[in-house]
Amino acid sequence: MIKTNIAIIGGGPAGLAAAIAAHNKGIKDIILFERDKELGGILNQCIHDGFGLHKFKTRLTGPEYAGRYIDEIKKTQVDIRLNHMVTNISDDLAITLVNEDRGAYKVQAKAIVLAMGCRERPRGALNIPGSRPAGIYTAGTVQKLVNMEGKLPGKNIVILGSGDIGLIMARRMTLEGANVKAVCEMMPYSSGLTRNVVQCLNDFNIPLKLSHTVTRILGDKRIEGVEISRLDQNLKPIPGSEEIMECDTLILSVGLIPENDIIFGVNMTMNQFTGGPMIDNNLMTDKPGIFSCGNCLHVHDLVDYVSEESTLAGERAAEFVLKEKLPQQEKIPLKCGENVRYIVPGYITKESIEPVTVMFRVTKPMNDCRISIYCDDIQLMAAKRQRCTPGESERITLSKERVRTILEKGSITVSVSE
Amino acid sequence: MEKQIICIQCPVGCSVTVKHDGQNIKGISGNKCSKGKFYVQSEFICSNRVLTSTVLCKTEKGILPLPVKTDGEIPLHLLRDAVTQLRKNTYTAPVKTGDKICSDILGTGIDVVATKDLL
Ligand SMILES: Cc1cc2nc3c(=O)[nH]c(=O)nc-3n(C[C@H](O)[C@H](O)[C@H](O)COP(=O)(O)OP(=O)(O)OC[C@H]3O[C@@H](n4cnc5c(N)ncnc54)[C@H](O)[C@@H]3O)c2cc1C
Ligand code: SF4
Repeated sequence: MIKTNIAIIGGGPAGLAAAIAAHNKGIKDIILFERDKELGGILNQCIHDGFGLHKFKTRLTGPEYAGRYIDEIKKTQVDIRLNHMVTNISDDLAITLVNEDRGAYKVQAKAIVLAMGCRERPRGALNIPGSRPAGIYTAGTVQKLVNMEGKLPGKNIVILGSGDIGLIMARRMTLEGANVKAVCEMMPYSSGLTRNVVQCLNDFNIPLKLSHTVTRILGDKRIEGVEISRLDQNLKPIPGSEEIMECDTLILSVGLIPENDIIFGVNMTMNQFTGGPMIDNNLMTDKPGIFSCGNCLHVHDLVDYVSEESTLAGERAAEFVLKEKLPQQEKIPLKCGENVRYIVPGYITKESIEPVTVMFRVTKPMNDCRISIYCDDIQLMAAKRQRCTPGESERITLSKERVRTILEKGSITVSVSE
Repeated sequence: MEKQIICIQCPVGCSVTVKHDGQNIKGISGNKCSKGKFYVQSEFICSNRVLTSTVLCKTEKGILPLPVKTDGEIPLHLLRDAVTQLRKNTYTAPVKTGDKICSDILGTGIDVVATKDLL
């Protein structure tokens, strides 16, 4: 069996940053597996700009952002294997892969960095009554179709869900000559960034119908229209509020979920709220030697933070291989307090001596709020935010001193109040 | 007359009302801070945006979309025309990130550049 020090799974921004970081730590024997024919991951289809504001202090498009890391990894000795799909990881860190030319084979790794990204929620998860005609797509599929294949899915379009990808595609298709009739959002607030609502919808007078959903799909072979209804406070359609909108295309932009099918055979704890594995502040799962970063850990809003997090994962994987740090046993869990849906990382290890950055999402939109971090009953720190929404994750860095206090007290809770 | 402009300078997203006579601003209200005032003032005069799009490019593997962007902001009302203008030509590989695809698009003084290498 082929042996390697570190195997990186996925060649998107997460995998690229992790591979480069591990290489820079002195590990020469690294293999990166990517199932696609090129590196860059989902950024290849995100041709709009706005990436890299934090990391490079300039507005890059997706391919430009990816290009910077691709140029860099090409200068290293990392063994990049494109068209290689990982199908399974075993409990002893053996990886099974398939490739058209080489068939199926196995690689034994000392450490693995998971960087498989996320995928879109499948349509089946949405229970819309009516037929299932052609002309219904997810936003990511449309993004790929328009930006990578140069095809428009239709002329008259309705979008369900106000996720950022759907908003960005509303603008893109409008500029390409399509008529985007409306974006319907079940919740009373948009799940996308305000910036995208303004620049992708308002700029083109596309209505955003909050508290509305598609209640029926019309058409037989091809979609001919949708029935949309207003929802009450309990998200139930209000009888009599139905309205028919003719369209030839319905686009679903209803959220992303981490892609982790290949690790289901590994004995590790998953976080039911993020859909990714539970990790400690070294990005290590509770299977020693397996690390996770990027969108397969939890869905990120900004690729800049994916790169930062994945760099740390690559460094820690390198240290693990070099035995600079042994697998940590004792860990303090981070608890979600009031109005907090999830926190990443899930644990802080007892030996931690460096600052720890935590990311979390709130359960509902709030104005003039206060983020509080508690150790038992003692308030460790507080931060003010003018606004927090579930669509924008929050970040807080705990200083070395605060990490020390947390480890002494043995507990930490993050909560947000209005 | 009144115009609503949402400020996007911070996550609060204030809905700002601009009173005007078609030409000049007569009053601004609804902004929680002064950043919002400056933002709506410039938005009212002329909204400018970066355009990202794709153009067709001849490569060894056939005709592929090449992602491009304007090298700076152009007026919002020119975005559609700019897309139409760019679609008139087919370009030829190899192209490198940053290569100029079109100079001075629609007389704006702004160039359009490639955002990906295409061989
Ligand atoms: C459809 C879609 C559109 C998006 N659009 C935007 C946007 O417009 N703006 C924005 O800021 N963010 C966007 N995002 C979020 C964006 O994905 C992240 O910011 C960032 O790209 C995450 O990086 P990543 O490396 O974790 O994942 P990805 O970029 O998804 O990369 C994961 C890589 O792993 C590979 N892979 C997965 N499984 C395997 C396997 N089993 N074997 C081998 N390789 C594998 C994939 O092919 C892919 O190349 C979008 C996400 C999706 C899904
Ligand atoms: S006006 Fe001030 S507070 Fe309101 S959105 Fe703009 S920057 Fe934020």
